[in-house]
Amino acid sequence: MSNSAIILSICSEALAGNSGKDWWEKKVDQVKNADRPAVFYLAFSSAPRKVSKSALQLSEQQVAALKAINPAFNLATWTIDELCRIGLMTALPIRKNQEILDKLFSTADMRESVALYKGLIYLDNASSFVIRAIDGLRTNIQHVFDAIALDNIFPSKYFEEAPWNQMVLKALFMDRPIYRIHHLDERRNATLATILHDYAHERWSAHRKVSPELWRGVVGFVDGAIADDLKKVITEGDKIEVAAAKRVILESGLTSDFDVGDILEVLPTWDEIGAQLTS
Amino acid sequence: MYIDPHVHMISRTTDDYERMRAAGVVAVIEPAFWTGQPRTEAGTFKDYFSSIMGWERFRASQFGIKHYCTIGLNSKESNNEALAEQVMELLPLFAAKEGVVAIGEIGYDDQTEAEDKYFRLQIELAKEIDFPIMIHTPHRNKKRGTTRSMDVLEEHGMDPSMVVIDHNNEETVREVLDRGYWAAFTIYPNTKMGNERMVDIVKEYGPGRIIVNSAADWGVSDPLAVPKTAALMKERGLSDEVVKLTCYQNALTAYGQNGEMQESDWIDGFKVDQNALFEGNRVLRGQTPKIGKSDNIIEN
Repeated sequence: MSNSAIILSICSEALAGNSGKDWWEKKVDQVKNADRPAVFYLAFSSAPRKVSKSALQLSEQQVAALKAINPAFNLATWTIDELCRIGLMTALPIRKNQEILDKLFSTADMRESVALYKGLIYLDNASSFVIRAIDGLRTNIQHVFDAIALDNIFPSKYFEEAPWNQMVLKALFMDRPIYRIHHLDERRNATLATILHDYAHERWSAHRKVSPELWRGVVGFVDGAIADDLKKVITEGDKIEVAAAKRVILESGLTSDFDVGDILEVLPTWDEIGAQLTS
Repeated sequence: MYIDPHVHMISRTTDDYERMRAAGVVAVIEPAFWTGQPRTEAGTFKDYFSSIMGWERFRASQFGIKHYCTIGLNSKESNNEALAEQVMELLPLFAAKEGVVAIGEIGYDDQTEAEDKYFRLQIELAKEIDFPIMIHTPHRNKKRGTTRSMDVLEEHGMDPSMVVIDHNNEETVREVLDRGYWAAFTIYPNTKMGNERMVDIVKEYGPGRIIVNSAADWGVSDPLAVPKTAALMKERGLSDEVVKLTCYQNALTAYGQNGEMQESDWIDGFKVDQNALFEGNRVLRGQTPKIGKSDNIIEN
């Protein structure tokens, strides 16, 4: 089954009992049949008015079906109108969707932008939108940034190293919870470790705190300079910072190089560290 | 509480916002219109539409005022047909967005064939999405232009209760009300209505479907026209109920019909935080921010 068919069927089910269901299904048919782009634009904008902005509620099976497309799918961040908007996006004929969506990207309001970026991974030609997603990360609007960077496999699947590294750095810069970046561990690299080291020193020079999550990005790439950073954190840091530094040492296989006391103590996982910081 | 349902805040200053809020204006509608100088590129329209529903809405919120807008191609610029065609293609991208309460200002200026063409296309757009329409009636040949606007609306099957005919005067009001439309009046020095005439019109025709606005813009105009007219109505013996209908409730009823503008948006006040950012920018330039509920700002 195509991604579009999966999304449209889940959306239809999610709209059971919603007064906008008939309207939405009619619009999907019109959009599928390559009617005027105006039909898509008007329907996309109208979705909140027609189906409401309520939190999305789905069954476990429906969540599993969405995770088959985007394993990082996080139901807690979704509303019903977003799913309906993304359903409309997937209903556009693929040969035309880039041209039609490009116009909407340039005129979208904030909630529309969030749905657009969040929806890219569900398009059957998602790989055609890599440059668009990279450009989207240049935003200063947190919600838009999150739509691309968090709970989304799009960056890890499609970004080359340079935009990937920029995204991780900017996520830290914007104080975003980077444990929600999919495949953060798998996409670590030496360049990123150096960038993060430099960033930590910039923060320290300005007497600002460094997020303990930052150190997750240097695991496996601990050179002499970063080893010094970790020693500093272990000496000066608070509990959670120390835990993060020790975890780097443990996961990088460097326990014999550091005086870290009983490294076998139960350290929180990276996700637990990230979640603690946002709570 | 007052609503100014026709005011071009994009041309106004933060002083205006502060004075309007202090005078009791809780919500404004910014109709898409021309901007003094004719535009020559579709991209200018695009950014204008984005501004009146983006930055301007944010700016108003920073002074405790809810800001809505209407979207449309104005009659004056419809006469540049090559450009008008491109703007018509832009409209579906903006018309149905959140905070858009109507299609407008549309109608006639010189009453040319081109104006007629784009007026009709936009009536059809409003019908397609079930939106109210704000009609701009012409400065010249007003009476005939007003009648013609209503004829064309009815030819397209538009329900008069979904249409506000704007910029009325003593010559047009009777027909507009008799045909079942909302009749709006613009209190604008010299070119449109003075508010003493306004009071007389309300006395004569009653408050049922009459709406007062300022249409304040980049010209010599008064963003306090609605509260001032309300005060004059009271001075001249009109009841609080009449003032409420003409300076608040009728605008809310007429422009609330697509569900985008609701009293609950402002009735309990809303959080004003002048430290807030819009795409990284704030309204302050080194001043001390005001933070609190919107109603607190009145005190200052």
